[in-house]
Amino acid sequence: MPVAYWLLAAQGLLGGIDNIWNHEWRAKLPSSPSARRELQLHAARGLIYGPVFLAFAWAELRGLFAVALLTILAIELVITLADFVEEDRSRALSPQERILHGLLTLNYGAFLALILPDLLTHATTESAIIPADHGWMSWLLTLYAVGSSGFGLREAIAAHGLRPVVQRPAIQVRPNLQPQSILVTGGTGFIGTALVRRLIARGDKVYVIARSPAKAVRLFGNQALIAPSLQALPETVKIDAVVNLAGAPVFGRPWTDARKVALVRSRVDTTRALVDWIADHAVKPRVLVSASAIGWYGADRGDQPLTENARSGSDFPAMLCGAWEKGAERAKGIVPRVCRLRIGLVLGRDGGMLRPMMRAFRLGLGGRVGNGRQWMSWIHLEDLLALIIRAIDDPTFQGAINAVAPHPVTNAAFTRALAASVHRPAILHAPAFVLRLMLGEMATLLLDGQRALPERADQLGFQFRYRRLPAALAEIVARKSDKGAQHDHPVGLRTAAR
Amino acid sequence: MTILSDFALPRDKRLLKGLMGRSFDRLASAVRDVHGTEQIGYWRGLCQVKRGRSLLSKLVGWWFQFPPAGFYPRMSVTVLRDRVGEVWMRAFGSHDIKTRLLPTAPGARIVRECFGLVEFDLKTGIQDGALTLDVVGMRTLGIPTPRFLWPHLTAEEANEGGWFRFDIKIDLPGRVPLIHYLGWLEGSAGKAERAI
Repeated sequence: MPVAYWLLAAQGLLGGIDNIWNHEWRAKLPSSPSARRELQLHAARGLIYGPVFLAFAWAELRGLFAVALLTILAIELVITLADFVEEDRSRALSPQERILHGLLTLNYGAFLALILPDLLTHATTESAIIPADHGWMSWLLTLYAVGSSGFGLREAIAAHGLRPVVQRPAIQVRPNLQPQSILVTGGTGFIGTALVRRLIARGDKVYVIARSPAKAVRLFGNQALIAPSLQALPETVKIDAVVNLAGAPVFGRPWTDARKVALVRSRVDTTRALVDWIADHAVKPRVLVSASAIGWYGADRGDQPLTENARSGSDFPAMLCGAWEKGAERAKGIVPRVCRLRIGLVLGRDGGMLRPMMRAFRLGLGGRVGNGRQWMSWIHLEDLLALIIRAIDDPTFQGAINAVAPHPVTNAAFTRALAASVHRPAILHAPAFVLRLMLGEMATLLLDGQRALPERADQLGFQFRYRRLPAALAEIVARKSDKGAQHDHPVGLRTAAR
Repeated sequence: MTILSDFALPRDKRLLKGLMGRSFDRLASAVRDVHGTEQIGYWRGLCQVKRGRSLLSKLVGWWFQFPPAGFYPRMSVTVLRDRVGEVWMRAFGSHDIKTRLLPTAPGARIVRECFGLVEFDLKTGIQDGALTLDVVGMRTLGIPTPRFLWPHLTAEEANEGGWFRFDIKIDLPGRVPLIHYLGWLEGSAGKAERAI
């Protein structure tokens, strides 16, 4: 076996370790927005390596084919050099990763030094692809080809997913003689983005606390005041109302202990910091509107109607919401009003759970989950925004309020309504045991539900625009896309006691 | 691996309360707050960490993933409860340490703390309202470990001006210093509460 093949095999092995250990596990590049360019370079290199491994595994290239291979190797070299520059620019490499990259470079250099003379010689001969078989080495290189192409595809998809959000059109601001200063945490999430745009549109001065200020700038331009942390706000800033929406997505990565702690910290720590910041300020806002979720009631509540007076649950989502609300409750006595919104499943076109569901249903892959009898307490995004704004403006809004529509449905009914709204059948069924096997404890989000009712919102005279699911889904499906400004109508403000 | 079948779950949801019974109420309020939350617990505070300098200390510290020596002006403790016990996650800056607390026989006042493959049985005691802990057993991979290999633990959790103060010193056999934590968690006298 020529030495060059051993070096190529070593290159594949080291590259695999680098990808899995450094890029995927430690640096988590596929989910890191600042690594998008690096991911693009890795994707290009991975996709190039696939054919290169295959060519060395099963063929001997002559003439123009050898020239093509030489060209590909030259392109790979340029990509690698660009990658060196990019990764140094965008992140801090660990000593171990630097050493591994050094070894990869030395190994690749040695491989090229050995292979180039042969390739150059072959390039001058007549064009041909001569089959070759190097036994187990051919199969090993084939395995590398599959792995490399797979990683290339994964990184290309991840880079695409991290593309910058297209700058939305400027928000049309209505004249407002009594603008308020409103601080929003979690302002770049699904609900936060829509809320900030709505508040800007009605003429309020909005401060957005965003972990990624660049994303916030892309979303709101210079129409909001953006800060990476509360400490970055001027000490003299006067805030009329605070809306706390910050929190890592609950559905996503498996609920390991570490993930659970991250979910707790992202909510409770932010809320505590927010309340401490308010406490430190001489001029207090008049209201803190803090998000929570109907998960507060716990998973195993069957068909029991759950108003704000129901007892809390004892599973993880319930404890998470409990700690979150407790964090917000610390503001009692500091600000005149604390309003805790226990938010249900938010339906909107541009995010939340509905977007991936609609995609599946449009492909005819939708279906009920588990036995379909679990309740889904939903709320249209427009109604939720109206409720939050009402909670800001209306001094009678305080304490816990269920932010759900008046008519919750079972999962089976939801499935039927969603399938009907996109004119597709929903004949599939996701068995509970499969979901529990795949998602573990997190499957409770899909398999259990709460029949929450908006008793308090009703008592306070809040008028839901979307009271029944078919109407809500029809509006969402009919809407081409949420262009922001066009939809910044003052939903719910008709009923708000301002 | 931890075999759970030999554990009798305490009746009280709160692990320490279940183990200590009525004597739990003799603990200082800040200690009861931290060990007595029925749901998720989350506290912030500050901590000074000192590490042993011997090669053995460094090796053991690395194995247990102890935080580097230094002052941590912002650390946090998160406690998750489940059917079996409690998960304690301490965050020192970006450095996390996770241990699992499990109950042993009720009335024995012994809590089992699991650091991955190594478990320690800690006898709880009360001294002037402070919680004290002593090592009374150690298992590695579930196998009882000879006493001469047990670490020496000096642990006290107390109330100090409404703050939860913890002073935990662990020495390796032969009194070789391993790690010393001294810190305070914001208790019921948090910044927000003081502002009211």
